[in-house]
Amino acid sequence: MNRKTYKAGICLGAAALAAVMTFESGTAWATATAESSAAASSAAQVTQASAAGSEPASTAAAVEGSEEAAETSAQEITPPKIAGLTYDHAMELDSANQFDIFYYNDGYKLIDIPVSGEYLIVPDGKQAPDGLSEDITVIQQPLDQIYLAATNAMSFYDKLGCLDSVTMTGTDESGWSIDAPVKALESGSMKFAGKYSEPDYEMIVGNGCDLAIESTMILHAPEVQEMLESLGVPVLIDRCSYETTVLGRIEWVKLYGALMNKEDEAEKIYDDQKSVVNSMQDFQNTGKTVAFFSINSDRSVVVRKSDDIIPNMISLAGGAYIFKDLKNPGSNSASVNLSMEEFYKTAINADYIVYNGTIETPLSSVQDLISKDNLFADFKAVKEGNVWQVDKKWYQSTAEVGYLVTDFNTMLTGGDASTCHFLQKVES
Amino acid sequence: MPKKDAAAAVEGSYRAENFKRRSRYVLVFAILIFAFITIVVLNINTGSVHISVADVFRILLMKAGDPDNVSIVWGIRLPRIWMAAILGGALALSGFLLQTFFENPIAGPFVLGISSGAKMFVAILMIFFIARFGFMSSWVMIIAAFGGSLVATAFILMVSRSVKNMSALLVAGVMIGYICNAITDFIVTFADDSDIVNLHNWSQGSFNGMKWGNVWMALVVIGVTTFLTFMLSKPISAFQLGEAYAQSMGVNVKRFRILLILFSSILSATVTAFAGPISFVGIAVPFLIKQALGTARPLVVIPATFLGGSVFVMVCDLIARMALAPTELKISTVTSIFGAPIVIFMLIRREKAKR
Repeated sequence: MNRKTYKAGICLGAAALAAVMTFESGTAWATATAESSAAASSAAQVTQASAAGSEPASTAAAVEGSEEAAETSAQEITPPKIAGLTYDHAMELDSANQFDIFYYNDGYKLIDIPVSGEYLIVPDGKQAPDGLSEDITVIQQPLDQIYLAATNAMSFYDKLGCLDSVTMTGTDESGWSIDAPVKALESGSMKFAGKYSEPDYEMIVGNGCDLAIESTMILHAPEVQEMLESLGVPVLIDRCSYETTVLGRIEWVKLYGALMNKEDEAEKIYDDQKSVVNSMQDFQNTGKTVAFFSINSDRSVVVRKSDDIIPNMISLAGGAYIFKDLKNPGSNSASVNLSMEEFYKTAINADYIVYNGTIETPLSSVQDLISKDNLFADFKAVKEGNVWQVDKKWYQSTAEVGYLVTDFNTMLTGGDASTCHFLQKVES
Repeated sequence: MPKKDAAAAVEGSYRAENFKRRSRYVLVFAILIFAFITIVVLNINTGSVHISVADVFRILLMKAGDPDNVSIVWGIRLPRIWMAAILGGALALSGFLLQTFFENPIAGPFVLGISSGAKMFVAILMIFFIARFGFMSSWVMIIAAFGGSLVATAFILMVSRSVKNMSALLVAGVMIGYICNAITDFIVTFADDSDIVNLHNWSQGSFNGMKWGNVWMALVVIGVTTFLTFMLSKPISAFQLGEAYAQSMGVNVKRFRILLILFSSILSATVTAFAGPISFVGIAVPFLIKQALGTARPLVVIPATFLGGSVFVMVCDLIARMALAPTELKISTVTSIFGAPIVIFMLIRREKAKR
């Protein structure tokens, strides 16, 4: 029985009790969960949450938040001892708090991702040391047959120039909005090998898969992870989306750089995006308010929590997210579902409204938005022609996610919309 | 000697009838066994990766050959095939027992809320367990689904102590299903989108990713329950002729009913636990088997139903994984699409034959 199974077993009773308690005490449990989540969060999350939750944060404060987090993270690093290997150093991380990388002698590396697990990267031609803990997943290099089901990681592989190693994907051609995987799928160098919850195990094993990269969605389908592991395919669970800062998310490129022995290239990609984000420090606070939302199939309005990456980006760009202290107690989700009434009373006076077209179908016109609900016609932003939307490409362009900040700034300062990477103005 | 002639004629007619009936049983079993073997061979030899028949035999008999192909056959295809066979049989048998218990041909684990109970527990687990602990093992989900099914059954049994009318009890079972669904929907209100997507995926059923550990566990639980059910063949036969008749034959009807619903629930709970809810099989297969055999005698119907369920689900699973490969269809989609028209067709044909 491995560590996770054991833990899951002993936690079953606790979970059942917790579920019962939920029905008995409702909010109390939710609050406890929120508190425990907050406790588990890093300094960066706390900093960002408070920044987004109070007055519109200044750009400098938002960037400083991630720097403070980096310092805290560096102080807490404790390299795991691995019998037979000598610890050398840890990767210096600037903003990310959802992973650590430790370097050992002879090119061995250990990746530690909270909840996901520990992964020992064994260099080509070397073997995992004897007596290695069963809790550590071994990833044997070279990695040239990767099944990638975490869509946000594709952008990193593209930027690192390692796309040829990703030979299988969990998203078919129609699901990609960025060019690189579409071209690879068209050329046949990459194949669709079934989605994360229903992978084509035969294709994965038949292609000699070296590594499966999954998003945290796999945690809801534990049987898939267990099956892949039983077939000898190590499973790495990406938690990039749990980073609450822009740079934290981009810094995951360093993890993939370490996997592919491309640390220098990863560093450069990160530094480039960091300079883009840091350049925002010169932006003045415009005092403009922004609502970021989408309408889902049950006609509820989906907005972001106040401490999510989007409000953080709006703040960096010199704006203020319209929802000051919006939380989603007891949930890890970045979004919150609101009734139209609740959304209306807060967002009606927003200077800008930005429709999230990453999941829902993008708007064809402002009239399209009004046809979803006539109340939109009353919105200040609609009346003043300040309706924008972000397209699907943004969600999959993790390595360039920083450009959304410059896009927001362009929007807030009345700049040239044609220079935007991911934002577009919705035509009347 | 006209009396002797008449007796001989009756005996001759009885023998001929008996021979005809037995021949029919033999034919149905022969067809089922042939279909079972054919579909097992087809399943072993079909998949995304082409493996020649000769290689498949070498891998099966000696576990020799290309290591990847050995993993595919032994690690992916075989556990999946056996799980489809075992769980398909169990689901059909569960349906037969429920139909006997309720004296109603539409009774099944889906109709009675047993699947809804499993879904409710899995929803609680997915939404609260993962949010709190970040991860879980597949065994935790299996135990939750099993527990949920049995909780729904316990409610039906509780109601059955006060409600003796089978139609009313059936309605009560349907209501329990509604209550479980309502609680699930209530829990889903607090769920993340990812929880909802995954709960939906689970509730459509799948044999994807079955492991040998699952096979052995299911084999033991279903094997023992099926054997015990088979041992109940005579009381079931007596019960089919009426409660009063069963009592006159010495059957303790109260205890018999509890056993019947308990075995049925264990069977359907095991299926739901390992593969998620699979619709329609529990209703369609017993009906088709009884039609094919021309009898409802448990001694014959129980093994035939199990075999029929295995064949039906294995065929559906083959379609599910190959129709749009590498995208896999949900097993309930296939069982319903292929099962429902067959039953409608059989019903129309039977009504025409009656006229």
